Amino acid sequence: MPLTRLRLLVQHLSFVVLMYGGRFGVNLGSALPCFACPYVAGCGGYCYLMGLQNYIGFGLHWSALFGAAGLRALGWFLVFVLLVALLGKAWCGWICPFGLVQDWLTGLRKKLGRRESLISASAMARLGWIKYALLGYLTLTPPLITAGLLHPDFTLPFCNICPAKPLLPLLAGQTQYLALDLTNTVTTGFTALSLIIAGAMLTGMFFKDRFFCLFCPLLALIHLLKPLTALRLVKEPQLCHGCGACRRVCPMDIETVYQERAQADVQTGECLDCGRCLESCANDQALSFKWLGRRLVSSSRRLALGLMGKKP
Amino acid sequence: MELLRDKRASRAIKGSGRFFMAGLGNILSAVFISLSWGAASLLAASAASGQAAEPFVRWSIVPPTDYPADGRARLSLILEASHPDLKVEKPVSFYRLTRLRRFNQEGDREQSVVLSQGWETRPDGAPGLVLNIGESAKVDVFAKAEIHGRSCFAQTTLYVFGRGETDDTAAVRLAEPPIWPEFKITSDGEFYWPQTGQEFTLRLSGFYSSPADENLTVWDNGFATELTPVGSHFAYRPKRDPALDRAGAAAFKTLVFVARNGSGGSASFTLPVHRSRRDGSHLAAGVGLFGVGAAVAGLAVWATRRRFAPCR
Repeated sequence: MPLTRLRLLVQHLSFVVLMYGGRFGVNLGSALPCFACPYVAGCGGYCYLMGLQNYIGFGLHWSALFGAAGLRALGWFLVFVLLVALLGKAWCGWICPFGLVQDWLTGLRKKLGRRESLISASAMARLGWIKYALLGYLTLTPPLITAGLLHPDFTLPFCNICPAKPLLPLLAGQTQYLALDLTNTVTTGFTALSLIIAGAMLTGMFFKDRFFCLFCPLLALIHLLKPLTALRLVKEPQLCHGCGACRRVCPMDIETVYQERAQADVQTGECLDCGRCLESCANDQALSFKWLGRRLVSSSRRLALGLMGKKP
Repeated sequence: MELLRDKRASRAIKGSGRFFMAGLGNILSAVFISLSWGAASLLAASAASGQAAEPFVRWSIVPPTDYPADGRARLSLILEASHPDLKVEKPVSFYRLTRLRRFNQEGDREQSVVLSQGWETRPDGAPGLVLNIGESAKVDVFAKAEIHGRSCFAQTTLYVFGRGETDDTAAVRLAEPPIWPEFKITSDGEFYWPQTGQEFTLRLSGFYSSPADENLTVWDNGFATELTPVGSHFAYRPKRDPALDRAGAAAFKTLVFVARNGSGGSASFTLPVHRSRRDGSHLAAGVGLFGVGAAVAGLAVWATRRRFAPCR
């Protein structure tokens, strides 16, 4: 089965399970390395970023750190690391519900015949730092709240501005997160910022493939754990003929897979492990997914030409 | 601006508790409701109201709920008299545990009744009670005491999220609870998280000698309001409280409902209420801001629309 069809199947199944599975008793825990939004009532599991924001303030209270709550936080962190180690960035390219929403918007754009907006490589490089800045923001803010330096409504600082919070619950019939919260100044500021960001992101996701993934702090966190991941995208540089097909199909506009001529490791910080490059590569075994060093699937001329409608 | 810690709120209002999000981690708020402020207000209102000169006892909740290393939830309550000069005598208490479903829905769940044994005498002479709960449960705490020979009953309902393997090992489970007056309270909103703006419906059984004797007074922010019975129940909708709005999502104030019967006895129910999650929400304004974000992004896309995009 072509990789794309398999990926679409996995994405849609994951979407149903993660968005609606809780209504049927599914509970995949609080350490998922993808945007399974806890604000969706009846979701099947929670994005780890919420747990991270909740737990990270404990460092200021040593008794809590070594208490049941601290041990639970450590436990969930280890579960998160294990899940990332097993599947790496396949969580992003194959499982994330918000990623699928972005792919739907991309499909809609193509059906409407609109061109994708381009962002220059230098701009992409600058924008890529935003996700690390957001990761820093969501880890540094909770201790300030615990220390009493910030208002309690700063709790869950990233969730307060995450575009998935207003958008994903819409797919479960919930509109309350589209409302501006005028309870106090802090809630007003956060909800206003969140809604403006969500609107901008929705437009961006329509005109640019996987636009939000440029800014996703989970992608940054998963990439920081790259040395532990079992799933890798590797290249055999000597087999590459330099056609550039991988660069053309990449939703993140990654050049490294095309340009790399020396090293096997071509999995950059923006890579989602979606496999589009592998599927489009017409050189046998030039690109491969490997799991713990074992080849799972490789590029093949037969597959690439089959996708293009030509006989091998 | 209230982007930093609101000093007015922190001085005037204290309260802390667990920021509830469907069973996720612990957020201990640094905000604490000043119980002495409420008690002083109660005194002032007592002087103004002839009916309130009659004594009653009430549960006072001491936040936060502790979660020590063994994972049990440690609840601290004080059985207070309506006036500091009154002495609470012969306190007896039991609590009923109802295990929580996921998402804290009600329904038929395992229940157990336990005799409260963690009594301690506080510096002001009021009896304090410490309960250790090892599971996620709704806890209905009942007490009976005497003031000047009159029987007084007190009740409150709290939600805890213990993770210990067992409850207090010294707990004495009762096959049948004592037959005491009992409040049944429901709301038109999320009862596991009582809020201002919700309507609470109260029914009291086993207390009044006849329907003509039914009466209920509610103490809210130190002011007493006599409720009018509607059929066999009473209803009360606490108004939005600006001070609670400023304090944070986990802050709470307590409402005390007091009933009296013909024989001079009293029964009270202490209800902690948080700020409303919905009253400050404005959907139209939020959708407008969402549109602004989308429009700004759309303008940016239009402004850069001439860039060439490769065929896909």
